[in-house]
Amino acid sequence: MRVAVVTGAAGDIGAATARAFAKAGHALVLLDRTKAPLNGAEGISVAVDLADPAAVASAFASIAARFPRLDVLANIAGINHRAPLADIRIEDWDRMMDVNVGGMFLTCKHAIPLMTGEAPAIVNMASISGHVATPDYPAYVATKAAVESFTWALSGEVGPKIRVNAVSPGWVDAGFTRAALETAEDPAALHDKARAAHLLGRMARPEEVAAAIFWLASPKASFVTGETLFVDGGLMRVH
Amino acid sequence: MGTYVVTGSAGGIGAVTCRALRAAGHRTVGLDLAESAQADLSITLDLMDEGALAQAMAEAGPLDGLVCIAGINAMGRVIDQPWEDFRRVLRVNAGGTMLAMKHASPHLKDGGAIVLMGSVSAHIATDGSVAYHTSKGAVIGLMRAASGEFAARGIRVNAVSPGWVDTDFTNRALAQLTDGEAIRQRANGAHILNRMACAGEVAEAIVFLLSDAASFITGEELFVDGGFMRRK
Repeated sequence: MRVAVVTGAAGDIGAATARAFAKAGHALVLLDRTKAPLNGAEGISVAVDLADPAAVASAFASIAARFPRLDVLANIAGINHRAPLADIRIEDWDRMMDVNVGGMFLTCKHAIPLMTGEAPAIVNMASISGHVATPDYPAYVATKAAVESFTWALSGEVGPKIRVNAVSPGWVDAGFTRAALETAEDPAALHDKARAAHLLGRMARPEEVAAAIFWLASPKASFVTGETLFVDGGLMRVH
Repeated sequence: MGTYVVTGSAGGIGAVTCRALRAAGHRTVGLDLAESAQADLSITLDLMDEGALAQAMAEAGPLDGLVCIAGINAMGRVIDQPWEDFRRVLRVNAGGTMLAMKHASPHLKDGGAIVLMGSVSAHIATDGSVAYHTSKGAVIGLMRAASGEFAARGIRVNAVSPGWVDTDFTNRALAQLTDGEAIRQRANGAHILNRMACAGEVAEAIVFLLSDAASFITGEELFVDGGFMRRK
């Protein structure tokens, strides 16, 4: 039985990803700040702050005791903070970097020694935000660009044994996005604009992002590594 | 389940793509100059023959998808490639792809999908293949342009860009070179995975992009290159 670690598993994309792996017969290791529900799937759920190195180390010690071999690591956990550069405090910037990039660095550091099976794979959550000029989100944009560069660097370091890829969604109809929209001056207008930004005229469903993560982690993607797969409904192609 | 037209279906990647689609329960119609042994229906034609192409698409349709794999190569540099060679590569690789989409369009169902064959050659270059590099750049531009055009019908258009693929196409190109074996060794090492792709790995990416699992992916170039683009 393949074992899939999913971070950010309490969020919509993380939960959809966990469901996809469980449906395909994987055991789950769910990580989030609060215990994410296993919903009947085999596995464990651990509450952990991914920005806390000691907590992550301790979480992986308990994970290794239950699952000495891990096959998939889906790094989905991420936070957002709306503030233009002039207003953003260094504490907020640090927190974003620590969670979005540092958290991924830590889970990779601890998971990779356990990824000793047949076709191990890591998939990291990037974003089209790493590629476009999104006002008011300089920290988020910087973390997501960092995620991609980290992904590419790691693909060279742990290849050919382990494949490492990123998924870059556009707007996803998820709690994370809804929370961000609520901070806008005119949420309804921004919502319409966000939908129209995609060639497909809508936001992604969390399941559509999960399907891409699942495929990249599967043996069907055996020759895909160091790649960023845009699941953006054509957003990057529009100007 | 669905019906898919595959161009270049007699070649290595095309044949394996037909096989993968059939394994997933689909019907395949292969278009190629030669007979397509792996397709459910094989139609031999020249992609430059618009009349034959239009007739073949009508015979094949209604269509759930189109896969444009047909491509050729002709070695040559800017300073010495005969114009006719350069033009022939562009006509088949870019023009043939354009015409296949044009004539498939009336038969494509709303919500269908198109996959074009890109290449890492659209992004990096080795000396002596100017026509091939140019044509693959054109295919990627064509993919982006078509993705917008077809979006209103819910038809997704994407490309798969392999690095080196271990096929007859590659082996023929290497055989033309005096140092072909040395280049093969270097080619293997040019990928993070230290080998070329097998055709089935490219086919799996095509099948994924055609499937509902890729329902929010359009205008995208999926590299199936074993980390080629990341290795310097």
